[in-house]
Amino acid sequence: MKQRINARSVSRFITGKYFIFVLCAVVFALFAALAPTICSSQSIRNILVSASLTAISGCGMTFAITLGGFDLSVGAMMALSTCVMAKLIPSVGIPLAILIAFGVAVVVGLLNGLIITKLKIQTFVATLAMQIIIEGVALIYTGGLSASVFQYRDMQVFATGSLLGIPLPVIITAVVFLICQFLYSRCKFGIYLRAAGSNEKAARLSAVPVEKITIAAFIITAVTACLSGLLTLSQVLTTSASIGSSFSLNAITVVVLGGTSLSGGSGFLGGSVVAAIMICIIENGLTILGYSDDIQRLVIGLILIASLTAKTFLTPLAKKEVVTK
Amino acid sequence: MSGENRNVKSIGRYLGEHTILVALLVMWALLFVSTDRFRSMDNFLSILQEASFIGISGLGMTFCIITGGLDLSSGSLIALLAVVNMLLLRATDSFLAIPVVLLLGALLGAFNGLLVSKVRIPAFITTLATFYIFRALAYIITGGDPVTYNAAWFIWLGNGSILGVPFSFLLMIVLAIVAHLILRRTQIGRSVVALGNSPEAARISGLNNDRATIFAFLMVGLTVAISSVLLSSRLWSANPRMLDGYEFRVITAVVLGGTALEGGKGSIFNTVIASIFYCSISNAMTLYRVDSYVISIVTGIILLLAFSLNPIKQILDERNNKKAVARSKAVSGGAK
Repeated sequence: MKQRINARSVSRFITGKYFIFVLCAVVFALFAALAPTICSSQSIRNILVSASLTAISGCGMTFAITLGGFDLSVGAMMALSTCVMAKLIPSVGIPLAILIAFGVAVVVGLLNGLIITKLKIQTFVATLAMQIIIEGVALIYTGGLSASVFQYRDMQVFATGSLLGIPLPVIITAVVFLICQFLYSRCKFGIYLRAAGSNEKAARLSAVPVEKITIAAFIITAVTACLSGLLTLSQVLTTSASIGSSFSLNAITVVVLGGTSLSGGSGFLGGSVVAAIMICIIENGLTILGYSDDIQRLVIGLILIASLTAKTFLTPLAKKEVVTK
Repeated sequence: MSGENRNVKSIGRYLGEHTILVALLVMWALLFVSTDRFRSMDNFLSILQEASFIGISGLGMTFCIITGGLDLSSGSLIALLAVVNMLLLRATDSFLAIPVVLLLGALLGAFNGLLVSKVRIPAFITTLATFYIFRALAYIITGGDPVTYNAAWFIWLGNGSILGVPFSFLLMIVLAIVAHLILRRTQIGRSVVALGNSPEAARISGLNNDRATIFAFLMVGLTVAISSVLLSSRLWSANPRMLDGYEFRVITAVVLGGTALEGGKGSIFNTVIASIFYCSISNAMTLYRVDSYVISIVTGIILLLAFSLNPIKQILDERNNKKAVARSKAVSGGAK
């Protein structure tokens, strides 16, 4: 029997997993109607490139949120990694500077994980404190000034280069997504992660190494933040210690909009990536229409509320049993 | 059982409950001894005054965190309310602008509470969304520019003193007493605590969880409104960019005071002490001419230290509780 389109099936679809895909398409269609220039290949390129920053961090953050926590320090981590790269490139060259930055990220992720597992401090407080500390470290390292690498044009390749016509950031995002998706669905790591996120006690009793998983998850968030930092520095060739201030909340917003539940246990990487794209569509669309940054933030906040309100009110409708005669 | 033993034990238990007070007194003692700049009355009073801004917001946030929720939008809300306050004052030159701002704060807080309770959006996400929305509104209504107002009576609110004590500090004390009474002695206050302890048990006992949630968030909005009036008075101006990250400072103060993030426990008194503690730290670092970047690192480390103590305290509490239960069983068993 063909699926009927009635209130129930529509609700089912809206509250379902792929809601963010539909929402993204609707939003794009809306802006395509209001601001047709958004459909130009240049514009789409821009959207995908700027979305890659949040998408990459969003993939990492999905792991942390699936575990039941979240990482508020990714913003500071991104800022620190850009500062480390910017200050080291003049002395040790681009490849080594990038390597060192990633090394720092691994150490930071390790610290985060250890603080949460060994000191048993709650995720919120631990990552909040780390955000403050890391930003302080970045400030001291840069002396509060901005750091630039304008002379090192090679650095720009990450942001402006392309392979077979596809911008490099998009390829990097795709690679990150595939790796994360692999870790999540086809590795023991993913299964352990979801188990620990749904019910920590049960997971422990089932011999899931919760501590190791936690540390790994936070290393992942730190490393993806570092990668986002690399792309940022590559784009603008200058940085300062405070560029990451709202980045953490942006990353979390993207994951939540994408459908990952804050209570843990079920992550949706694809959703995080699509949500990042959708937010960039909104930002670009509103910019083309002439609206300022503030209005963009307003719209994103309203969409966040509206989509979750819709989910709440339509779920009972979606779950209603159909009585067939 | 010797009377002296019991006194020592109860003092020990009192100090355990109020670790933040101990920490504050110890820190003040250390600072008092080590630097003469700390010994001036002026410095001491300025700590109290700075602490009152975060402290007043912390009163409302305590209610929110006791229910197990979190309000990430307070920073954006305080900026919004501050600019609205200044705009209204410029337009009307009347002190009636202030009650309007308080009402607006309460309404916006209740709006958050409504989304969390009736629409069932988790507090984190709701306040994340309003974090964006309120800040955006602040930018929109001011066009990005600061707003100033400097009528003498208004400036006095955030800067003036009564008999040498800063008005804002006195206000905080009065509000803290009121908040404490509401939390412990009224029905709605008790339902807030019950909700934090166990939503199921509260519901089964006939308490209205939705009303408790809305009330808790309303308190946040109201206290943030009061802080916004005082802060804009202190600064003689308000701008939409102000107080970025304020919500984390308020939450830090509340949690430093021992209110657990899972909810159910909390003390208004401790929140007040923790706000003073927090401001004493910044004051101390300014006195020592510590690099402001180092201040960030030290603040973060202190946060971590304070929280690594909590789990230890919890374990000790559990052990104390078990002992108390065993003791009472022994007593009642012996009486049979």
